[in-house]
Amino acid sequence: MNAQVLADGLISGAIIALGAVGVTLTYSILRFANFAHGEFVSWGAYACVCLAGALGVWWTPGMDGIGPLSIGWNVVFAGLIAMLLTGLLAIGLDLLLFRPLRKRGAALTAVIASFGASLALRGLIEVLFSSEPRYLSQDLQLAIPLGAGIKLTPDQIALLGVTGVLLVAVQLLLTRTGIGRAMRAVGENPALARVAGIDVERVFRLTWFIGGALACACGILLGLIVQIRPAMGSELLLPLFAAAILGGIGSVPGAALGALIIGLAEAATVQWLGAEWRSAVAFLVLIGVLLLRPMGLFGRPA
Amino acid sequence: MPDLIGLLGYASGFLTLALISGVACLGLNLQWGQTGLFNVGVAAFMAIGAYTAALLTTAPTDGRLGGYGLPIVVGWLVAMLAAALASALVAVATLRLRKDYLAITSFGVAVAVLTVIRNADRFTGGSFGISFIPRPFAALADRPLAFGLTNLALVAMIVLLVYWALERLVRGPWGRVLRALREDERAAAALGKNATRYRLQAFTLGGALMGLSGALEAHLIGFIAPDNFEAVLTFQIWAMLIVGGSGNNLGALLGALVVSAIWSISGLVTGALFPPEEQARAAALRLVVIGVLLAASLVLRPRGLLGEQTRISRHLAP
Amino acid sequence: MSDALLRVEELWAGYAPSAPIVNGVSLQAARGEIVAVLGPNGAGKSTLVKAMAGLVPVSAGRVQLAGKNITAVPAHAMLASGLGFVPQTENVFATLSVHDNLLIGAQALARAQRAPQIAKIYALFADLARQGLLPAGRLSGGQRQMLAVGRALLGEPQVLLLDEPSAGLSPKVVAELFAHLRVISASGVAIVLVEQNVRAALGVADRIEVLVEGRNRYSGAPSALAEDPTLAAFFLGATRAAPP
Repeated sequence: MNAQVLADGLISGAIIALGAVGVTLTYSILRFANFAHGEFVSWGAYACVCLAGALGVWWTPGMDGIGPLSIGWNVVFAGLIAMLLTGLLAIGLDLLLFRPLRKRGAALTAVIASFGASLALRGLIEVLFSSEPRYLSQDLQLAIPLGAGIKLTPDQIALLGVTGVLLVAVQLLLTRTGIGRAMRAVGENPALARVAGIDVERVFRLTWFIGGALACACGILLGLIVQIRPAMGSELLLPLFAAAILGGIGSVPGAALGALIIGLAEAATVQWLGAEWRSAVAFLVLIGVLLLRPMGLFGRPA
Repeated sequence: MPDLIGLLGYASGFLTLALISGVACLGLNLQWGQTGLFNVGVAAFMAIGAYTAALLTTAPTDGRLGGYGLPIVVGWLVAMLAAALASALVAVATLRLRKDYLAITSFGVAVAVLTVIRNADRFTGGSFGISFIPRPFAALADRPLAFGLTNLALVAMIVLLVYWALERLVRGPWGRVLRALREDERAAAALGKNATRYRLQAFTLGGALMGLSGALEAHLIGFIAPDNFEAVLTFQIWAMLIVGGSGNNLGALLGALVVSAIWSISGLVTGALFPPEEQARAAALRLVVIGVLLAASLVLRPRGLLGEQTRISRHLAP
Repeated sequence: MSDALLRVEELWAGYAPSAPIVNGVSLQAARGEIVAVLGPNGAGKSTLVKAMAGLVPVSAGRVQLAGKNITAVPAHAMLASGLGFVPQTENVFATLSVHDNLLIGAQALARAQRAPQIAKIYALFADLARQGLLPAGRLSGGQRQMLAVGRALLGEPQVLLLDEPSAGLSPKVVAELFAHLRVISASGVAIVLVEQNVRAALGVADRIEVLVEGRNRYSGAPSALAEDPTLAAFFLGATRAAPP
């Protein structure tokens, strides 16, 4: 087994994990499969690249790469602002589209609405930015040998670090804070949560915010390692769902593990069958999970 | 005089394609409107129908398998069977699970089917697709207006037949059970595993109609390619059902006509807004406009043009 | 009877306005009083307390707590208004630990208050103290009820509503639970108890309200019901003949 496949799989898995954790949270707490989640990934990346460009114009030293990284502080600050904006985008979409349908009791209609919204959001990106790929940095990087035949670029190492930090932060939020407890309570039983004094709508808004912000981070990292295109997020949607379902809806460690498994499977497939077959991997994993263990690795049996 | 003929030709072509979409929409209405099953991969089943029919009825071609030159009708029937089989597999895998797992799985099927038809060159012609698909009434091909009108008549007859058959099914005992299952999960539980059987039948039949639609389009246009079967197609069929009114077969057909018209007109408008080399952005703008209109109609007038009153849910808690 | 802390006046409620289940019910509860709501199946007892807690739409009438009209208060704000509710089923967060369940209950308290108040709940329900880290779903039925009550108590309610707390519990556990309820009411909390288990309810209640088909049918001391078998048989579901 080529060790580089492991490294590629790890990188892929990390990117998928950030999106999958957002999906698993919104899916379990809001109880609906949001087909527009991929567009949060794309919009986040575009927001970052635009803000980074604007910031770079105004503050040119910010564009120098930080140490061995290919991106400068302008991208870092732009990224943080973009995460905030994408979180707000998610809340806004819920307020305009999903919440009215939820209030009416038409939860499944919200799913089809999210599908339509995803096409509209993707189209809007193309209208505004055209489908020319964009890049967060023009620098080429050399991969550093890390031993055992594995080579990673500094950007990729930073990606793993950032992903790790974000995932741990989310898990700590869920398990150690009051708001995290409230989120888990709402995810299990919204009616009881109301009775227990939890403002469920507020928990929903926070969940959207976190999901959107994580999706933005996912998009920024994907844009860093690959490129930024209008379809980048929607192409990620099936792997995100598959990872979340594989891990067990509602479990952050599950989504991360599911993402890693899918990342590795995709890397292996690209290595042995060719890149054009990559999209089939998530589908096969999904079918496998639904047939063999629908509740996922860490989910509870229904 | 020539202008009038041109106009007539255009109109008949438009109507033919709109009616063909209507067949897929009738299938979706059966799955969602009558049974409450959620198919986000409509394009996949249409693609399966189209490619099956094309592979069976085209002449043999280098570098590609298939091409058996079978009669068109055979192609259509087998296309329906293939799509029905695929639908049945999806349904069997997911019917006992949460409703939105069917949505996600059907979405996955759409991605998988698209991946296969794009890359399995030896079977499907890859990105180049399949051309020279035989047209019905090919003998008339040199007289465009007669050709167009005859094909329109053929499609119209098929649609009428499908509509009549569906109406009989839906108004009969089978349809009543489906509607009961859609409305009341407890009724579903009381029927036990039979509920799964009814849903399977509905989903499969709906899928077969989508396959028929794909096959019809393949033969009426004469050419298919993977690009025809992207998520946008699924979105179009859903838009037709929502605008026309889900739960209502006539609504499905009306929605097909209305949305096809809106799609064409908005295509002309957005196309005019962008220079020729930026037509991809124009298409994207059309998507945005129609997407927003659809979302607005879902929130503001969910029952569409002819749909049923939405019922107040018996369980108001979220 | 001292001033009523809780006043329900002519309450009409149901899932659909055209089909009310609670038809103009009134009841009161004073500080430290335990009121049992009894009646045959389908009498609307459960719907009544759910409506009071803001979970079922109210079409007419009002609910007052300590003089404040709380009828239109949304369900999640009821606890802050002084009304705690313990539902009949799914009344604990099964996937969260016992301690997390209590922390949720204590969320509204000042940070410094939380640990001491939770310690008091553990003191009240000794069984729970040993199970702090266990997922609540693995508790026994009786322990689950105590956890549900404990969670509601942490919100420092003035009124506590319970929907059939004895359901599915053995008589010994029911007695233990109801003994705890008496201790709670002694501290000043008004308790309204919906019950199917008439014997146990009569043993703990200070007053009873009987509902039939969503309407008040009898209000008074538990002894009257216990001493008159015909009355008991009629109101508690045996016949539909006219009352004596």
